[in-house]
Amino acid sequence: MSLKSYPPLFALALFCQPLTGEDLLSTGQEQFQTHCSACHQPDQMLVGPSMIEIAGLYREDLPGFLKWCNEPGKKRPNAVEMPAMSHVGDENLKAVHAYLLKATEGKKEKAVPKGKKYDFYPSIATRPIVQRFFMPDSSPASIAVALPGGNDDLNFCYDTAQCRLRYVWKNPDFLVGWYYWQSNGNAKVNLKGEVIYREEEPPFTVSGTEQESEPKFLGYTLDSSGIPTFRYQWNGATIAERIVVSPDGDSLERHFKTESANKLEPAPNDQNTVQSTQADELVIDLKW
Amino acid sequence: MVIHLPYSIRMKTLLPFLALLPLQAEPLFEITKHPNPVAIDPQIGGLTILPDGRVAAAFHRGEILFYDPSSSSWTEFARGLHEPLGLILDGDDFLVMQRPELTRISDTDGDGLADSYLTVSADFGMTGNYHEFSFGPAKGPDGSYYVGLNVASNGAGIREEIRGQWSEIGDLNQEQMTNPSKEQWTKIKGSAGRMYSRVPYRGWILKISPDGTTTPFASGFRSPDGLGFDAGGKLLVTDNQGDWRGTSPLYTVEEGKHYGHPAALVWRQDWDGRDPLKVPVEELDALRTPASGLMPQGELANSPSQPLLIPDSWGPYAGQILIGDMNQKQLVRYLADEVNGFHQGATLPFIANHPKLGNGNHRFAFDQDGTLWVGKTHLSWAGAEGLLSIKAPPADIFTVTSCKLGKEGDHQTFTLTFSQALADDPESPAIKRWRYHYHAKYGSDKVDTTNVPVRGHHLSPDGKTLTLTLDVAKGYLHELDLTGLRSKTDQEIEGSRLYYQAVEVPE
Repeated sequence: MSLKSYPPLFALALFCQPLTGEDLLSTGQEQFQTHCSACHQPDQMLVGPSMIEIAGLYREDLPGFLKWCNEPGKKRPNAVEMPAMSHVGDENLKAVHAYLLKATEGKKEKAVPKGKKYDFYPSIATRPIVQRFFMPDSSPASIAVALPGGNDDLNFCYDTAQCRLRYVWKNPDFLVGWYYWQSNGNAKVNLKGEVIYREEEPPFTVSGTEQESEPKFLGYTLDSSGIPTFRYQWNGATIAERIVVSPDGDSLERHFKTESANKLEPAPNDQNTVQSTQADELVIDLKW
Repeated sequence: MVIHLPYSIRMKTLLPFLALLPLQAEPLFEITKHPNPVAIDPQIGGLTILPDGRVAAAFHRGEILFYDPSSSSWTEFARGLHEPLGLILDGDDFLVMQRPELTRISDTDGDGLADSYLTVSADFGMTGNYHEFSFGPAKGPDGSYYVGLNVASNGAGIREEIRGQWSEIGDLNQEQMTNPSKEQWTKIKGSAGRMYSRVPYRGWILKISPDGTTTPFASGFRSPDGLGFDAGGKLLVTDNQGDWRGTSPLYTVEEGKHYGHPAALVWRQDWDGRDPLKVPVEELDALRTPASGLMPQGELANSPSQPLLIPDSWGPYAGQILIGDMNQKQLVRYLADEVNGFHQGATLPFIANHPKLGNGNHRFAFDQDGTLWVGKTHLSWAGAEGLLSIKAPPADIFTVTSCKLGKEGDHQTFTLTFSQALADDPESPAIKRWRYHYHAKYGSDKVDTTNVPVRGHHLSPDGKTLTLTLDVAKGYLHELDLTGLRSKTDQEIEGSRLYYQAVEVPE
């Protein structure tokens, strides 16, 4: 079926015009909403770069834009890989390009601290954060916690195999998770911050029992502000443990509650001092 | 069907030309792609349906979100999990299998967000090796939860800190395997075993009661990515082609049995302490329970995922098992048979050649309307992302609904039943058979491929049952080529190849 032998189709081709003006922009907006907006926000990086950044990169380079959309490469090692958009079609992608340029005219990218830009991921963005990962210097079953308070830069690693605090590190941006997340788990996260305290054993012992047993993790609950309480069994006692930043911001308050008849005997040292011992709760101040 | 036209076209010239466009054949299955949640890594590890019809999905970076199909919107429920690879609803709670544990997740204060993450069971080991995934749970008729533990891969060593008891069995010691340099590991990794089990119950299915009591249930798995129960309450588990897996299998799993991957043997109570890799293959072969079904590599499936019982709303498919696959752009269907008391059966391509299915089909759930929801993932392997839904097919779809192996004198029969009467005088399907090696090598070529002549066939008066007489070889996979079979209503058959695994032959 050739064009010559099919005059009606040939005429059709003549009547087909590429989109212009308002049609182009409204198609572009519609296509962008459907295919792109889940990962590309106007003025900040989410899963992918912002609309402003993309417009800047491809303003003079429509062919490059089309090529990238149809066959995305991998420029940003930490980012979630972009799926191919070849199903959208080049005419629609041209409309998206036009829409991007128009929609970002005169706009500025939101200021983001240097180094944080590509590490943004919603579930580890706002304190408090409670997230399991493969953590350095801890068992494979560990939980990373970022606490609010003080300078909003205190984080700790809780080991659910040993049921205890392993270390505290300082990083206002928590840690870099994509090392672990980007692939199949063949990496640990990167703390990108100074470890300011390491603990070899808990700051208490369990009294009133002959029982010695391996610690057994029971899980955690979150209070209304998202702070975790870890529960575990150890040497016959059931213990609930909660760590928060002290009101003055320069130490951590460690709350240990027993839910059984045993008492917790504090074992203080230079960094861990007893703040209070009530019937079932031991509060220890940790200053590094 | 809506056609999106990328050009603005003057309507008065359009209509006559539309009439000239060839008609697109409607695919048999209606598939809809749903939007991904904003800014969430959209790899789905677990999927289930809420009582109100919303879809709950667990994601690679640890979130659980609910999808509302009526508004195409996502809301967050939970976060913080460690590679969740299965999600079920248990009353008002969720049970999630994540790398380190089976966890019960609840919203106790009713604010719509999870606030309780209780450990149901962490009674198994972890070395920190990346390949130690944890799959499930599937809830059994006995009320217990069944989970599967991947063995470790010699693509990497282990971490400095492990959880659980270290097994000394193996040519490499713990120190050699801990955080080796790339150079060092390349030299010694062959001695680790392609996949290894150096901490408890890697390569096992565990049975976990609601109170957390954990029982090692069955051994011998490699990457048991999918667990599910059939209509009779039998546990079905898929595994992936690899070492000791000539091609991907489907197992009917029973307590105390061993399913072929030898690394896990060291954790059996009665194991004598030998290195399984040094045990003669004949002995290992005799220890294992064979697969109920096989999925030929590259043709049917490469990396099967979840097996799931198909509900009544899917008409001719009701009661059968669907199985996902990560690599091929199709699903798999399993038709069960039983011969000499052994559960075996046939696998077929399912929803093949559909332009909207794609691959990476990892987790499945049927909603109250019978719509099948599909969650996709890839990690570092072949696959895709996001959420699809597939409507129940038309009730008059033409397909095989069962394949039973029987006996006729000195020969055997395959009795195929169909959902529609066959067109008159059908030709016998061409049949081939082959088998796969059981060996340490990664995968197996087809062995002893032979054409199997059909000695005769008989079509029932109602046209829905075709009995083929042939000689079935014990231990062989028999491929029936059903392409070309048409119904009396001139429909093409859905599922055009059938692979029957004849572990047992009728006595």
